[in-house]
Amino acid sequence: MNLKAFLVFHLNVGARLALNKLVPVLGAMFAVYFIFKPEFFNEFFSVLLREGSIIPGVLFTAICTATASMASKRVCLGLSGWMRHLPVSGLATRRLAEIAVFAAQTPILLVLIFFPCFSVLYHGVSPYSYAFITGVPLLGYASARASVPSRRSPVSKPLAYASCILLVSGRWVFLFGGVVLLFLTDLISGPLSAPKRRRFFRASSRGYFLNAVIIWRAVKFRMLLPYVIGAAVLGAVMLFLSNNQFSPEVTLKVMTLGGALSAVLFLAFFSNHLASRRPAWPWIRSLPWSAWERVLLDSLCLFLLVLPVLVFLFFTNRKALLFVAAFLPAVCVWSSLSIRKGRNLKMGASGGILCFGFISSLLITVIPLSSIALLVSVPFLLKEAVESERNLKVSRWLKLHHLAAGDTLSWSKE
Amino acid sequence: MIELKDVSFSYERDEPVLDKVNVKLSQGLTLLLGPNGCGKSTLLKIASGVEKPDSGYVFVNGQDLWKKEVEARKSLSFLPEQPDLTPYATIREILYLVCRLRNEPLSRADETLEFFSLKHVASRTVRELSMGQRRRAVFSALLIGEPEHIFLDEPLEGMDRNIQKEILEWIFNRKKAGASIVVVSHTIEPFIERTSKAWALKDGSLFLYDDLPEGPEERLFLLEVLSKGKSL
Repeated sequence: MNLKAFLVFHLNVGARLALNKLVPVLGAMFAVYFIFKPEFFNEFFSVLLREGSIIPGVLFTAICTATASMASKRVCLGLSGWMRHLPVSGLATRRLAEIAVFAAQTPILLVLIFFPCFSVLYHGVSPYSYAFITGVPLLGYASARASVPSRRSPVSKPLAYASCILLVSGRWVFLFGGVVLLFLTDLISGPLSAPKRRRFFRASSRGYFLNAVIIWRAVKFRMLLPYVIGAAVLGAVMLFLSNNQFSPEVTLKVMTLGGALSAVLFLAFFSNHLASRRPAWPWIRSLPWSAWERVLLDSLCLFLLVLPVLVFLFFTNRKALLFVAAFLPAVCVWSSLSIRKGRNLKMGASGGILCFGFISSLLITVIPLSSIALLVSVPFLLKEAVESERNLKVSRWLKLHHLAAGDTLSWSKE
Repeated sequence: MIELKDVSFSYERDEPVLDKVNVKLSQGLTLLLGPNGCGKSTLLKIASGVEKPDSGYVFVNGQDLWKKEVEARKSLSFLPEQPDLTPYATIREILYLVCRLRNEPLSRADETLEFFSLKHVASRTVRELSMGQRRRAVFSALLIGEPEHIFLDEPLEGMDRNIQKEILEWIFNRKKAGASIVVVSHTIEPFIERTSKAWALKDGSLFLYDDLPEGPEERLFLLEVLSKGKSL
């Protein structure tokens, strides 16, 4: 009876996650499929499954384990806390959490079944397709096992990953091997365990650079993705310029636009991370530290983080560097403003930054002198950001308010 | 002196928590009473500069709390009910920051850590502390400097008996030194004899009781009535 109640509870959790997080992903994937050449996808899947190699196994395992680990973080939050005093064993809790993670992956699994079925219809039956399609639901469960933390995770996790790869490698023999490994991991894993917090280096601060230290600790290596996106834009610009012959005027415009867009994309993605991971700290507002200082420090940190774009322009096009350098302070201050306003907006902090950034990037490309106007606007933007900081209702209950309130549970995970 | 002038505040539209509150906080110990959810903590947050009022002004020694932010806050100290320290800084780092902002030597931070037996956990972040340790950590920040205006939201909650005694002693010493202190506490007994004033919040309005009865029993009865949100 207890187990049934817990099963229903976990299935609800999994289903809610699937609806909240993954259904939009599913919609986007189908849109991409139908808008951009379906033949490409059919061809891709038919080639992938024709060989019956380990490559599709690795590819689909990567997709599923990434999804499962995202779902697992949410499903397992709290399962090792208060919930553990309820009458159900740790082993059963772990298995039920796996079921919840499995349920949360349903939309992705449906996509992974849909594509091969479609390719079978288009390109005829491949001997490997049926084994693959049979393995997909099992892959969902195996990836859930790999992502849910258990007492003997160091041993069971590698086995679960191996099982994932074998299950969707498209051969019945591999599928059988994967199922055996899946059973084995279930026996080995043991009960659910509380996830351990990872510690990176701990910079010591005497208060002077605390704001920068807090930004670093809040975002850490998550800042790599915004850098990769920014670098990709610059890379694309360089490829575009090296494969075409342009006059110096056009080259300047391309470099200005590329540099500005790279900075804007970096700031948008970075600010989103920062807004969600560093909620407003209510108590600090009672200290003699003004809203001006807090906003200015944030803007300064953002400016320092986006400096690599200027360094890149210094070595490639110094005229473009001037325009982008004059434009950056305004975008950085706007980002500080968006970080403060973003928590009340559905589009988060990045929406406002992208809108402002794209428009002003185009503006400085078409009318380079407008960068001076943007520079002049910085004090006004700063004033607006400071007002926004002051008007924040920091102790209003929000979905993630407990993060700011110091709830024990919320600290248990990164 | 702290003055709240026509202060109104709401978290959601059409649900006012405070409605045109006017009050002057003078020296001494004041108990802020009222039932759960009546806005006591919100009033403390507004008075200490954590939340900005939707309308109205907060003056600290004649300076607008939201115009002269740094100057006005120099004499303030606030103990929140929830120890909302950032999870990204260690306790020592937070106390060093407070020392810098209050122009106190950094050694003061180490002294307060010692006082609250937190020295061995000073290099941990708040997420690595128990709830009691977190509360002690926030309280230790209060001890840095000599605050003139002190706002304490449930100061005795989650503290062991010895620490409670020390905290009460510190509060009464600050009172003797001429500080103005507002305490929100569901445990009113330890404060009964030392307080002469009480504020009661009801339906967003603040009622002031500047002359509490002399006898401890009558005083306790009155305070209990006020804390239940009943009118006299």
